[in-house]
Amino acid sequence: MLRFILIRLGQAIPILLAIYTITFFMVRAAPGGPFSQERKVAPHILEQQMEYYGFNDPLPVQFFRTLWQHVTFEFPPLTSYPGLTSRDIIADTFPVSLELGLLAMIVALAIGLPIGILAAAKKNSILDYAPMSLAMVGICLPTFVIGPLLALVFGVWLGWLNISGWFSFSDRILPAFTLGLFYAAYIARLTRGGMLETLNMDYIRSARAKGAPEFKVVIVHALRGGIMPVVSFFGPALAGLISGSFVVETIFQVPGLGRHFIQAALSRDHSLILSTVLFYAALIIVANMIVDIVQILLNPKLRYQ
Amino acid sequence: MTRPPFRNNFIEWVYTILPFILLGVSSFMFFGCSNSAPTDAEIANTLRIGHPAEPKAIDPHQAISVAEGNIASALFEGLVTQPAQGDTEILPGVASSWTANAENSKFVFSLNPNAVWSDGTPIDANTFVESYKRILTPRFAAQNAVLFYDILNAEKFHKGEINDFSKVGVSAISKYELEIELNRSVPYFLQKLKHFAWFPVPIHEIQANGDLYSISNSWASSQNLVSNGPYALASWQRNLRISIVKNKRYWNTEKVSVVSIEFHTIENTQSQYRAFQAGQIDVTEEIPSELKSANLPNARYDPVLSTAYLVLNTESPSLRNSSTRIALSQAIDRKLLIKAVLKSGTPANRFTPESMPGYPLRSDLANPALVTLAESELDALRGNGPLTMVVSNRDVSIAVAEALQNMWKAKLGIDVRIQNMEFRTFLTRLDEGDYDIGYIAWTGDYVHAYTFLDVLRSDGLHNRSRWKHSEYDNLLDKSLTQHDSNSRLETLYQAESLLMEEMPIIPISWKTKDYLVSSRVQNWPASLVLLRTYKYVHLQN
Repeated sequence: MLRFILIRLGQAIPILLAIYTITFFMVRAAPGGPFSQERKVAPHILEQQMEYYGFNDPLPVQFFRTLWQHVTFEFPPLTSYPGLTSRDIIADTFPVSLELGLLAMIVALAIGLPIGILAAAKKNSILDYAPMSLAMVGICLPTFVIGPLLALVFGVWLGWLNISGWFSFSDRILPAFTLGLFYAAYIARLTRGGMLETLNMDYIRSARAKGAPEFKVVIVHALRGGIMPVVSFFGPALAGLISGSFVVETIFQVPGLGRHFIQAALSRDHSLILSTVLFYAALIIVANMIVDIVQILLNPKLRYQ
Repeated sequence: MTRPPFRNNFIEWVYTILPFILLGVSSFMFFGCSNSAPTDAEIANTLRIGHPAEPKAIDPHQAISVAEGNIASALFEGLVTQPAQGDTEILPGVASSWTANAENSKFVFSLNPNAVWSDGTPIDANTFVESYKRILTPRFAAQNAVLFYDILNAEKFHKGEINDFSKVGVSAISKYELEIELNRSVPYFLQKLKHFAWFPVPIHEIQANGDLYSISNSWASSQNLVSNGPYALASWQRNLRISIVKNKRYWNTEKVSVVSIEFHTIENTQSQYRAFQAGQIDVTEEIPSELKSANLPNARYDPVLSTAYLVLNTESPSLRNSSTRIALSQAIDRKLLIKAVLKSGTPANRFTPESMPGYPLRSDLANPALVTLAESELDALRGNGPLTMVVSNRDVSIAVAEALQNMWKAKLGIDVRIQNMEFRTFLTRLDEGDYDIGYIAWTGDYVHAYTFLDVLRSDGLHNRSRWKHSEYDNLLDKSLTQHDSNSRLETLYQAESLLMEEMPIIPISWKTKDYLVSSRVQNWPASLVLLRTYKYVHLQN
């Protein structure tokens, strides 16, 4: 297993290098630069700014210098926030995105799993059709529709929760639900599918034949197998969730990483774009590796390949 | 059926551990939240302002946008200050009084010894000399240093042509007397001084934090920022909220009414509007465009010195003739455009806004004769293929472009191809001259027509039309040498008339600042150049 992990980590290095290279040159190819604004900067001032940030150096020099900065975690000052570096930004904002992502995952599981189980257990009844149609709606409705809708109802009309901000626990509720509902819908459908398959298995029939109560059959016997599709969905979904959602963070003014991901690109902040892209790439690589490890653990056949 | 024992164990393990993980995560989050909801008493004394973007810098020498300037203006104070309402008055700030010579080219400021930094360090004439040296230092690369070029030798120092700052026209005559000598007569110099770039900075604090002239000195990012204005920084939660409280050491602190101000960074205008509706913020940055015509109860439409206009690429084969450019302008139904698309503002028939005080001197603006393009000219124009209009990808800009496209098609039979793109790509296209028509706006820096007309100088930094006209430049230069304010404005008006005869730009609308201010906010400042003073605001609960 250790060997497997080491090999996977070794494979991650060329992947990250490739991502770095592609991103580096894409950023340079984008029209406009970090200092282009509606109110143009005078050429002699621009020259000084370019010099300070090292943009006047030959491209290969910049390429390797920036690469080395990412290897050693010694980041230069950002063009969009001169007093800060990428590390400050990620250290500030990633915990927020992580918290929001985990809360959203809890919401997704707490809503998606019971609905999916119930729908499978009461197949082709109203308890199946109604929540599953709702889940379909949940998948189709994007967060930028659900978010403002929830804010309008619970913030403006009922006045129970804040519209924006990230101060008290109640401020976590709306963003977590907005982000979680989409995944809840997915999980409900995956659970239902997985459960239906498992409920047709022979061992379930034996359990019923032995006289086990229906609740026990569904929750204890069938769920163990039925939840498997959700487990494989969980890894990549979690990576997506915790790296921040630009839409939800913007709607509810959550100070997370997702906003910087977009904002860095819009403000052509080369250093911040590279750092956030590499950070996200590393997260996905780690999440995928964990999923693979879990799959190996679950399927002994894979262990010897 | 037998299942691998391992799989069974693993799932049991997951089942056992999952509830604990969930419980742990949720309790961590519950107790991890430090701030509780504010009490009613706190809200009663706190002015909460919706802020459009996380500031790049609140160092007044590095702040660029109006929004950054708004925060800097609460924390810092310059030699002179803005009145509560309007812009014409000039009130004492760090300087308690001042004198000027007859030509308005030399100013002496007497500083108030009671004006000190929030850590108690005194502010003297030398603080200003050092501060202005900082913003003019070439390697500090401050964009707003160009605002200082009226000062004798400031431009030379900033461009590295001279290295001796004592040759620059800023000097301390005595401990509390500052002299500023200009390279020419500037009657509105005191107006320019209100801009946040002219605020002093705590030299001692910046030096303690690193290199005084470094772009990335982080003194202004730290929580214990030292300032000299009516407010001092209390806390800064990035991308969330900047809280400031009354500065007890401010020389005029008894006049400051609002105890604390919070700037809530909310980028999305819809979110700001909802937060305002829910009573979470008292002032918004703008009204969402679809609600501008909805007669919202707390809406304000303040006139500002800002003009939305079309910049025409005068080097484009189709737009070389001024008659074509004028015909394009005359085909625009500005009233309809404002009513149907922009939803606010006034139709503009010249570049300098009508809200500019004292300008023009005459109200007899001659309506330029209606230009009718000959059929042969129109054919030639159509023969060049469709005109390319570039706009940034904001909904309003795209709607404006589509409306204009229709108007030109209906009245002139000209085809226009619209290209909307991300903002910096759009700017690059304009800068490279890769366009025919662009939609953009200009906002004045100070209250004088010159801040507008200077834009279209032949070698002007912001002149994206590539229009070059020596007579226009001569008129602008002539205005600078005139000491009499009226004859100067007259010259500028001649320049403006010439501009409208040549039409390298097509003015569309004089903009207003459209935003919401809660009824509990009293004496909210209105400024044509969007410079805000918070010290006169009070809250009524």
